[in-house]
Amino acid sequence: MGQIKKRVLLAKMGTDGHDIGLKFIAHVLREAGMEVIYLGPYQTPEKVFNTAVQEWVDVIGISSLSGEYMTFVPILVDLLKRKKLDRTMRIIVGGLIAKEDAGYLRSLGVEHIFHLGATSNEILDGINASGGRERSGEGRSGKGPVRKRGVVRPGAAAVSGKGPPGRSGGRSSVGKKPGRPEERGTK
Amino acid sequence: MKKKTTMGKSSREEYRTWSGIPVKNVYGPKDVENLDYARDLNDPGKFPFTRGIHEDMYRRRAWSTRNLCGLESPLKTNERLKFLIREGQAGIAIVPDTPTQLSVDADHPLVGPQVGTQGVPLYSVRDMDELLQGIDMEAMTFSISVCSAAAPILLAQVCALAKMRGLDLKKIRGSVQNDPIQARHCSYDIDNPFEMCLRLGVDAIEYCVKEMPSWHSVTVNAYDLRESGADSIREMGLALANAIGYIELALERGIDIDSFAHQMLIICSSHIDFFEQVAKIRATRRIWARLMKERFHAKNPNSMRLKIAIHGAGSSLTAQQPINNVIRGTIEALSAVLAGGQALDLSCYDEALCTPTEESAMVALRTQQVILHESGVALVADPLGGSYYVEHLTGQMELKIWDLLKQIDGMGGIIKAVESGWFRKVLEESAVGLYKDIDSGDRKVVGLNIFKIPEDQDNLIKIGKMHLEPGLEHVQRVKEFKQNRDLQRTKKSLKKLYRDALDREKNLMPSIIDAVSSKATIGEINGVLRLSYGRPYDPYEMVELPFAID
Repeated sequence: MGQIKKRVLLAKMGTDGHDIGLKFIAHVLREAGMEVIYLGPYQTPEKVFNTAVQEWVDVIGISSLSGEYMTFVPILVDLLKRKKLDRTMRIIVGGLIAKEDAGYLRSLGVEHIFHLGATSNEILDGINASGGRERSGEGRSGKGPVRKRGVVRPGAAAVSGKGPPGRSGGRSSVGKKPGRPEERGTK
Repeated sequence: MKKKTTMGKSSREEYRTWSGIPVKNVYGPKDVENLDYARDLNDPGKFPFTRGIHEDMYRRRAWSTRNLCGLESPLKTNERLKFLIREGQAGIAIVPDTPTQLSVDADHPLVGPQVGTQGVPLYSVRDMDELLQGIDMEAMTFSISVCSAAAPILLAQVCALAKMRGLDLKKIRGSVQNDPIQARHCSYDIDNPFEMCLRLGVDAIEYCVKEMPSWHSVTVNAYDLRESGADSIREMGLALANAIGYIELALERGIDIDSFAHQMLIICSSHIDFFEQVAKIRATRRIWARLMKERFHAKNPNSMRLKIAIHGAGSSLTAQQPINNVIRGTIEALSAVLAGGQALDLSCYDEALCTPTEESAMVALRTQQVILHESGVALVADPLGGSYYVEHLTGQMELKIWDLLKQIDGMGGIIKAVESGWFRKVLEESAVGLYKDIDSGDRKVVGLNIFKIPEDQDNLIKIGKMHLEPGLEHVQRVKEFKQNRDLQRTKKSLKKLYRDALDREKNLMPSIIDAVSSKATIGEINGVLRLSYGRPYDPYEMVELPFAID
């Protein structure tokens, strides 16, 4: 039972601008035949969620080199749960993730955590093994909007496949005024 | 074609430097036969300054030993600075936290978790005052690592503070990076209009010519280009192209080249590829000197003398077996010193994992002090000069950097190359190539893809906590600061700034300084400037300016 092309959204949330690693991952996933929607840095959880739904992705990859993942990943998980999409769209997290935070992230339902030094093969294997659609229709089963191919928001210019993954891609917001995430400390 | 970048294979295989320049087994007189001493090298302190900008180099003045520093709150950072000064640090190097770099205030709903975690919060003139509490601003050089549109605003904070303290601006020495082209691609910049960023950058240049002759208005940031994946050739080529871009904009305003060229610096990376680092720095000095003399017709030798600050490459460090990073830092410091740099800060051994601790910052400083005081390498100017290999490689680097500059000129200059997307594309290609090589093991990194040890045995050195707690107390203090100021005065200064910004011919530095003195914050100033360019006040589009601007 072969899988169809995985659609993966890649983003960083908050103020952390270091995206060289994420750009490389985008390249690796594309080379492996996946469709990549590259949102880049400075996103809000709401923007990531809205784009994930609009593009109907299988996997949301969040990169973080700051401690901000502890604030924003729970908000993102919450948004997915509220729309009952948390089993359909799987979250993976990579970057500078403290070992002591890994358990908490897993308890939220984060499927994979890739620490520094993870190879691209490990990341590919992880994504391939992640939930998401298979040909049987499992996971899609008529729920959710049918993805409209070719309908690309201007903001997500770097969407899928060939376009250069630019930081400007995805800047223009999906949903003009995203709600304010609560201000909280790490944990 | 076989490509090898590291040792351990038979000498018949082809080896290359990290930038891809072929490396032979041995070099001799034939490899430098086109080299003309007077034309290409000359003595240190003489045009084209390949061998260094001073005649007697470090005997006259040692390079400025410093450590990049920025923690939790201005007061905490002040403590660390005083500790480093007590330990013999010669200059102050500050890195602002990410919200400051993005010109977003601490009380913004999105940025709380990052206040003070990766740098020092500098939202207002009070923050700058607390940062420099008890430190004599006229006695220390003071460098602020900020490239984006936040640079002119932080410079304005320095000016406002100096005025508050009754100091003479002409005596204040230091630098901001102020490199908006670079910021757009590899540092912090959210969606600020490019035109606005360039204008502010050149405003700062023009202001410093008149008011702050001892300040460096531009530090072209080659370092972050390197960290974003560029090899040595692109690192220096793109940085020089950016410098040319700013120079041309300043000349268009009628500013004389000899009045500001000496106020420009380059900060570059010292990476692990030892000889290539030495060669690239020597080559860059030579190119700068020739650019100034031949292209921009500078007359003053000071315009042709490029000061280079050097930062040990963060991207060369590994999270695995972090003690090895002390060794990497030593190699990188040595190449920086042998290349004749003017200031050096090393990345700390724990920097791949956390904000440096006091211990790791101390080791980074001690590394430099051992090199300076014990090793004897600083006694002679340009001690590698004349080496067949170093001169050959310097020549190769120069050729390849000139080629890149010509290519950019052919595109109509660096601004056009940015607008067409070429700049971004080139950086991304380099980054992907670099990480592919590491991923495949073609490029060997000890502890990462060779000589690994199991994680639970990786206890060679103690590491601090990976992520610092955010400075939430400071968030509260920013809120209180905003509540307790004379709001009418702040509003008045911001309105004036807005009106001045609409006049595209006006230099905005005086009105930004006035706004800072009137206790306007970095987020408010940037927001008002954005409004004047028709953009939303908040780059995240979550908050509004609390009063009408026009």
